[in-house]
Amino acid sequence: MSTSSQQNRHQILSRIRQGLGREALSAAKQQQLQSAMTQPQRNLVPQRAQAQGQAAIDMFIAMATEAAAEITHLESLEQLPEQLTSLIPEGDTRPLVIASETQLTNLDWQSANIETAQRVAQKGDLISLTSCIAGVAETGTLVLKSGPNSPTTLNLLPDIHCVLLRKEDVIGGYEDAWDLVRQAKLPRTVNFITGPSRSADIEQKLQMGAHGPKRLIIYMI
Amino acid sequence: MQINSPKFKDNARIALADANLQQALGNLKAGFPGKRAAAIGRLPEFDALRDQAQDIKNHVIENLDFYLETFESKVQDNGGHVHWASSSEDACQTILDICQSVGARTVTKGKSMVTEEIGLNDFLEKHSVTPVETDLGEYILQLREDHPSHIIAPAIHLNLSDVSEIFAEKHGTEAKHQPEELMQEARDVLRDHFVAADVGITGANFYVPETGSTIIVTNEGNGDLTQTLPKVHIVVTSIEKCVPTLEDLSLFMRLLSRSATGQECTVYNTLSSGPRQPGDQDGPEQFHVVLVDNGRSSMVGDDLQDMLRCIRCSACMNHCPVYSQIGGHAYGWVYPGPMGSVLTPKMIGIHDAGHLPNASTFCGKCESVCPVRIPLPKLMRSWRETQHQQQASPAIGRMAIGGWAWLARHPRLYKLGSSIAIKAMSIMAGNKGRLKSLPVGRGWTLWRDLPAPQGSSFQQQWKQQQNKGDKS
Repeated sequence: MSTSSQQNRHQILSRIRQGLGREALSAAKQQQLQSAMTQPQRNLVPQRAQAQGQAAIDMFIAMATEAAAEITHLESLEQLPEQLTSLIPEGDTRPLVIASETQLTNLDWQSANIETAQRVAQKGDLISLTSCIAGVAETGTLVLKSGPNSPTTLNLLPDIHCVLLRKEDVIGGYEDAWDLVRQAKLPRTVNFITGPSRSADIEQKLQMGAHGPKRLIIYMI
Repeated sequence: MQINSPKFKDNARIALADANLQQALGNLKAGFPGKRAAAIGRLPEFDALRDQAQDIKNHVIENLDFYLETFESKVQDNGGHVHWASSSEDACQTILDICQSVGARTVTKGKSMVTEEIGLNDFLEKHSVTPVETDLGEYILQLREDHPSHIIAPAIHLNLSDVSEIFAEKHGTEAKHQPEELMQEARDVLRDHFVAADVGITGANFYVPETGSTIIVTNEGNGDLTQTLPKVHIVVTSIEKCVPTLEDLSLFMRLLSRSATGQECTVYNTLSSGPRQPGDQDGPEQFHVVLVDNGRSSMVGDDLQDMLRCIRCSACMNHCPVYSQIGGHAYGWVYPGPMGSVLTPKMIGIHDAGHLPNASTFCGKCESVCPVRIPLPKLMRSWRETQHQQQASPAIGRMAIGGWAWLARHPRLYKLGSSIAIKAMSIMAGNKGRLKSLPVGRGWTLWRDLPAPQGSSFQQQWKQQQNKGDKS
């Protein structure tokens, strides 16, 4: 931190304390606030966000569909390569960029005649395939974490983002998602994604596919 | 940004006569308020969530020093850097220093009102760093050398033809006339910038001390590309944008998108915590947070403290009868509408921004839709008082108020004067009971008739009411 930043820091904190009419908080008060943060209490969780089981799955499907995500149901993971072939235009040689997770990389891509690549996404990529840690029922939102096997660019750069979601990973509300995130070391990025990219900046007319993926396809098993 | 607030009255007059602008503002009126109402109708707990949000934000302000320090140390634990900026100049210089330290020539930018507030783009350009706005609306404005007129729908004052013309001119392409074609063109052009940029700058809708994270809430995905692809990610945010924990963030996520665009959830809600981690294949190598004060710390403990709860959702301006008639540019600085009328005088001074807190009918709609229940009319009234005390308001208005105050303290004279005025107005109004013109009320009668007073006066009715009360 530069000297001026140090000085500004001092100035800003002093002015705040002056406005509040007190010195820095006592050690006891700080301890109290710290523990409130390390064991965070939930605020009011709307009833809708408390859904479980099949009700949560149904709500997830309804809300994700409303946000213009597409949902395809699969009987088994093995059906996935066959499903993806329909997305690749005739003669398009661009590889399918997949997250380096064995459940995805072990699939029989060769039989489906799909060339795959395990890397970060690049400009020009057509389709990416990732998994996610959860689907949040209350708004049809997918939760994805960054990590060595799940580069964030896969969620953003390609024209079509395909996401594998297991029904048992559908949860009620955002709070349940943070509980899952807290189970491991906090990653650089947590993405909450609800439908494909959109913009209404021209005359307030909604257009899909602004800068992120134009299509978000959720494969549910 | 140049300050045009002193010319508010002229700006408003021009805006009302601008057919193109009026057409564009029609899109606002037809859009946001209805969508918000529909979304809230589907969440019965909405008002209870607002109460909690208000409490959380008040708690944050009461302990803001603690949360800022905690946030700073968490960011550092995550491998990031925190910079403190008292003023716009401090903030701009800090950002430039970071850009220069990595030899940056171009930077991409996600949408950020704080960077508008500190005038970042002009500053970077002056120092040979080229900023590229990547939000579609902001990009259109940058090409036009224009400024946002709304805090979440920056180009709401423009029509399709405006976008069509500027794209054809600046991109050297054939003019396109469909919104989706124009968006595709911007997508193609900006892709190269995303990949080539050395530094990505975003704002933050919130920061979370619990985890040392910043959050952006967007629909296009440009903010995410901006912060993921370059080597360096700089977050520019202001000191009050704190929600202590991820649990609190959940609550604010539910409030923000519904209050802003009426969406159930915005497309991308992204939590960023530090630079890329060991093994990560993408993400920035450096993560910087610039905490901007710019007068906010001096709002703690003063009349404007409630304004520090603001989450910049834009519901107040979307529902404001004044904003929806004149648009955002008439306000003459970065923040328009009711929230701007409270904030702008603080940031540029009441002498320059004096018209803004007066540009309100006090209908109360802004306060009624505010997700954190900021008493915006009360805060605007507080500015009017300050203005009166500092004699910054027009002399004639102060004289009139002074005269009325004197009269109100002399009830007999008041009664006599008002009974004469009532009689005179009734005579002038004639059979129709309406005044077509009034010597001191031209501002009213130019546009509509003034109904003449009818029946008994308030004081008479009050007396009757009291008498009735005594008998019962």
